[in-house]
Amino acid sequence: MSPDSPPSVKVTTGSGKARWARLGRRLGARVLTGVVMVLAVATLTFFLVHSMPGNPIQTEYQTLIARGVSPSLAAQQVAGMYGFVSSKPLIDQYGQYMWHLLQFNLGKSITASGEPVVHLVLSAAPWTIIPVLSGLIVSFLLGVSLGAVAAVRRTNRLGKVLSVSGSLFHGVPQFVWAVMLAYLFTTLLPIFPFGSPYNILDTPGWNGPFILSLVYSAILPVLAYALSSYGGWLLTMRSSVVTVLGDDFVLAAELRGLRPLTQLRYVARNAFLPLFTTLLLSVGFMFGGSIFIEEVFDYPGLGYQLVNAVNARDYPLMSGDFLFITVAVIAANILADFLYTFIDPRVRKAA
Amino acid sequence: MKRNKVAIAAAAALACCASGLVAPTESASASSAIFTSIDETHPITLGAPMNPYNTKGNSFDSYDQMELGYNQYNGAHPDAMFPALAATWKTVRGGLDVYLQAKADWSDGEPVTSSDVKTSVANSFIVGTQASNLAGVTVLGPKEIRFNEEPGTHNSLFAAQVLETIIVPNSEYGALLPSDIWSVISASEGKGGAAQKAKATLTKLAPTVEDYAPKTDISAGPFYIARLNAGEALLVKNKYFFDASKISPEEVVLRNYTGNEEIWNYMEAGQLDFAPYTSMPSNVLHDVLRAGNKELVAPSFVAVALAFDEARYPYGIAAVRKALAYLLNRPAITKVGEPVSGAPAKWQTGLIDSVSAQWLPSSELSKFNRYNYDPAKATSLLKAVGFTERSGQWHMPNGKAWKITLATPSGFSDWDAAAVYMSHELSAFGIPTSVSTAPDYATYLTNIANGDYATAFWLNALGPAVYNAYARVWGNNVTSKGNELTTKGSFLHTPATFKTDGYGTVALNTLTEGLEDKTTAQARPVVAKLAAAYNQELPMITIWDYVLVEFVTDKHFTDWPSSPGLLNNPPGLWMWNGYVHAK
Repeated sequence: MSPDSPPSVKVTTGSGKARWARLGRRLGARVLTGVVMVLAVATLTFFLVHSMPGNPIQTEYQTLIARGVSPSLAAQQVAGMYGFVSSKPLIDQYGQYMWHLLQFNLGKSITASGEPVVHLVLSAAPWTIIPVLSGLIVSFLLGVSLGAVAAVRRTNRLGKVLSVSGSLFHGVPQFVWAVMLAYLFTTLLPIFPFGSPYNILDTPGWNGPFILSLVYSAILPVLAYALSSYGGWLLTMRSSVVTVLGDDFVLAAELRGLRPLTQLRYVARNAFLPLFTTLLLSVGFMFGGSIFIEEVFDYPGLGYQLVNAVNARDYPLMSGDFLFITVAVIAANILADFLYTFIDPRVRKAA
Repeated sequence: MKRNKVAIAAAAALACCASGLVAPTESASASSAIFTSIDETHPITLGAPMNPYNTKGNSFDSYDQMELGYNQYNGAHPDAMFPALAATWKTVRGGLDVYLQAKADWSDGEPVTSSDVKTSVANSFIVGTQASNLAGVTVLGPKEIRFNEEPGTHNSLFAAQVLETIIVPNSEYGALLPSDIWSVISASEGKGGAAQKAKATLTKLAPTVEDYAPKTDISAGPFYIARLNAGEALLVKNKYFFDASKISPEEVVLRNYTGNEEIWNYMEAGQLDFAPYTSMPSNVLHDVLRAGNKELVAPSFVAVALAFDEARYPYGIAAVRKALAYLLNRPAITKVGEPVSGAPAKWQTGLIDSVSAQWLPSSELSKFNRYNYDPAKATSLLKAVGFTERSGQWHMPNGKAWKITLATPSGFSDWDAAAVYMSHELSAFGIPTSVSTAPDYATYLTNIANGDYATAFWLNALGPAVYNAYARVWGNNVTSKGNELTTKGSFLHTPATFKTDGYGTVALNTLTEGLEDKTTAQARPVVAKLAAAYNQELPMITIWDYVLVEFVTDKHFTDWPSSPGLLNNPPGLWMWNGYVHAK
């Protein structure tokens, strides 16, 4: 049987109970691997961030001096950080960090005078997750749809224009999109806000003005995410559809006189498979990009928090942000792997 | 036709959405009673409490965070203060008596009393921000309190430091303190094991005070925080503020920022009524002014210098440092590095020029070497100490070719630009010079502390107290050691004494340390000695004095202050001093 057989082919996978048991075991193994990976990454990032030169208290003090704050006031401000920079040997700090980690305790922020890192990370997380996922979904839907059109119409002008647009958009890095959008729409033509997740004058809650303001403030960051990955989806989908279009089953479907819509369904399902894995894996890439995009738009998410933590040498907060992003990427991998078994019958059979 | 109708309907819907979407920002900026600004010393931190003791706490000085008084930034009288929650004060034997504003109330309507001050002082001992030599407080009445100075000590800035105490409500913070707190504070000021134990107790209490998160913002300032998100804080007028009638804005919106670029963007988009100082190049200034912003200018108590590690050859030789001063064209460097908010340093005294003029008579200043650009003088100085020039390259007395590396941190665009220009100047003279840029400020500071740089950019001439300026040069540099700031050690490796023309041997470290205890009159002769020693020993070459350039727009408010004292303070203070009125 051809690996690209239409999905109508039945696959014997044993009894329902046994199949679920196998899937459960498979998921359990994946989660266990994921936990080990998280602990390994936590170890690596712990030593990485602590090997960075710099002292958080000295940095904060001198930064305030550089901002023109008088020495006495600067000393007053940094006094709140005393006691939160551990002076224990690094290996002891590591042991304590891992022990706390097992209890879901990420430690206390140095620059925020002992505020729990979990609290700070969770406060910033929604402002990264929502724009990242929105940008991903928008770019994916747009890229996949237009990629299919570009493949089907690859010989005419529309197909060529779409392909060129995909290459062009794919070649521009995320931060360039962000800088360009910020300059165009917040400075040159200031029609979009920046620097805030919503207009502070709108009362938060389930009310029209607040939701509108929330959406309005997220448009530019979401657009930056979407534009930077749209090209990739378009080109991948185009290539995938073109490959599938040449398969025997498509020719057989045509010869059998199946309706174009049915044919398209066959083609799309097969062409979509490689994109699905990439979709979930790209979550990690988008999180990485948040560092640039949030910095440009002064958008208060995890990337923005991470940059500030690195500059201020807030080791626990840095580790917390890295860990959160790591967990998100690993969870996306596990999810991709697990869901793939439902989408691709061959994998389900193997499971 | 049907397709056209669909297209028109879609376009109309899009237009409606767009106009609706634009509405929120329009409504925000259209109201003239909303004052929009940035607190440059305190960006907003999502998740941090509304607590002034927390380093990242969301508490904004002069708006919802109040002190007893505010520094007037008077170079000649560093202890001059503006009244705030303290209406008046008087130095008495053994301390300072402070009289609170009779009408000072918290935003919940309760009066600000001596109990609030006492709790605030206890908190300052716990978090380590109490005034130097402060022994404790004695409540003299509901609105009157005495700050006791440690017997047998004198700190010339005692009143100023006491008045800079942040005042918080006893109703919120009082419950955090153990009942025996004053016994512990008293014990911590002694010596021996009991004092150590008491200090440890205070240290243990610090996180309780610093992490405390009040549910609502109870403010004695002109505003209180109504709500905040990660990018903005909304503060509403406190109707119980003691000078509420002078406060024109009904609301204040403070915006967040991470770097200068965000502030420039806000200004270019006309979104700030007041923008704090930011370093900017000329083209950005042009765009900012074109957008309708105007400048408010005042001296800033900080300068930038090229500092030397005198322990590293050949920078321990005074003639070498002087020769470099003659080789650096300070006006040209300033024009490249800090054209908007920099003024080339005229006198090399260790102080900014305006403070030099206040502390040193012109007859004295005229005797000082100004080190104006003069390569010929540099040549003769170098040759006199054994340097030689061969084939356009200067060689040191030890025979090795002289090469310089100028260290700067990444992100300080003014320093970077200046360093590049200086490297061209020095290379053209025959000293191959390169620029080494540290990846960030934290790394730069660590490298400096480790003695990795022979020549580096360094902020100096801090103020307003002259003690701060000279402490930056001769010992007692504030640095960090482990968990806290410490005042020991200096990467400059300057000598402890220096034979100064006209003054003999000047004890640099001792005189500098003694400055903190002296009155202005007592300090004048000391400053004259230290300034002369700086001019002759030249431990660092001051390149430019920073100038405080702030920006305002007249779109919603007018009546901006012009006095340097007010301009060096945040705008909340301007308001209750009779400035900033809605149009």
